[in-house]
Amino acid sequence: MIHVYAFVDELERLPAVAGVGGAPLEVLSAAGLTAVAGRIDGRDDVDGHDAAVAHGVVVEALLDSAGAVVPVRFGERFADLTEFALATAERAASLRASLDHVRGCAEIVVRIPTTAPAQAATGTAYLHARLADEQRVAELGRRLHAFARATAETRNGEVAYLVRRAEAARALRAAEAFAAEHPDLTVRCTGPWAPYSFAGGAA
Amino acid sequence: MTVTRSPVLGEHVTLVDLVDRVLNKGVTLTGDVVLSVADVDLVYVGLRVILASVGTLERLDAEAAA
Repeated sequence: MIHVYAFVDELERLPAVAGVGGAPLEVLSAAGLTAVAGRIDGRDDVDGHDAAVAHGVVVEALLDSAGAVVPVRFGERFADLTEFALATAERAASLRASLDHVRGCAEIVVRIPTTAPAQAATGTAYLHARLADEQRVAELGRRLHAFARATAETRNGEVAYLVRRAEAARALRAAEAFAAEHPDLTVRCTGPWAPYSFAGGAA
Repeated sequence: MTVTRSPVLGEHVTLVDLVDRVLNKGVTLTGDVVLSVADVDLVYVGLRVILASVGTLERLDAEAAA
């Protein structure tokens, strides 16, 4: 069974981290694309939370060793190379486009919690609070606009910003400065992450 | 008693983020994620339970040390 972590371009080296189930990492090629994968046959702990963490650690490590990383969702597994190659060939064009889109980039994720009470006194009060929420998100967006090559709204009211890796630290500082100016808000900012939110989504 | 934010707890919060990302984002190849999704819920619950336990343990440790 082949477990796929990510598609990559310009892979300099395989990261020195243990894969899912402790299986070593290897490079696969199909349809002109390069993937990093592991053979998990006979391995223990390939489905639990440790496995999910291991998958994430590999993907994040790839960010340091490849020019472009398109993360693959946890759980994509193939019986053999033929099956993997078939699935890859079907989506080769969009995978190639995703690799080009995220080349040299990582993402930072910012969450600004809503201040609208679940039980507002009036509908107007609720809408005012929601409007204030949107204005804050827009303000942060303006500050990060200089860095962001793309944005993606994710569930949980998070916004992901695709930024050049070299500028990720500056983008994070800009978000932190915004947070410092709004002590009433618990702005949550994490990253830089591998660009999951810009991987191309569902098949 | 001085309350300090535990860096260890911070790392665990990031771990939740990490797991959330690998389970819910990223490109899919097979389009057949039903099994994964079913599994994911279990993984998620498991991780949250563990996190709660870790947090509780840390609090107890801190109280014991105070």
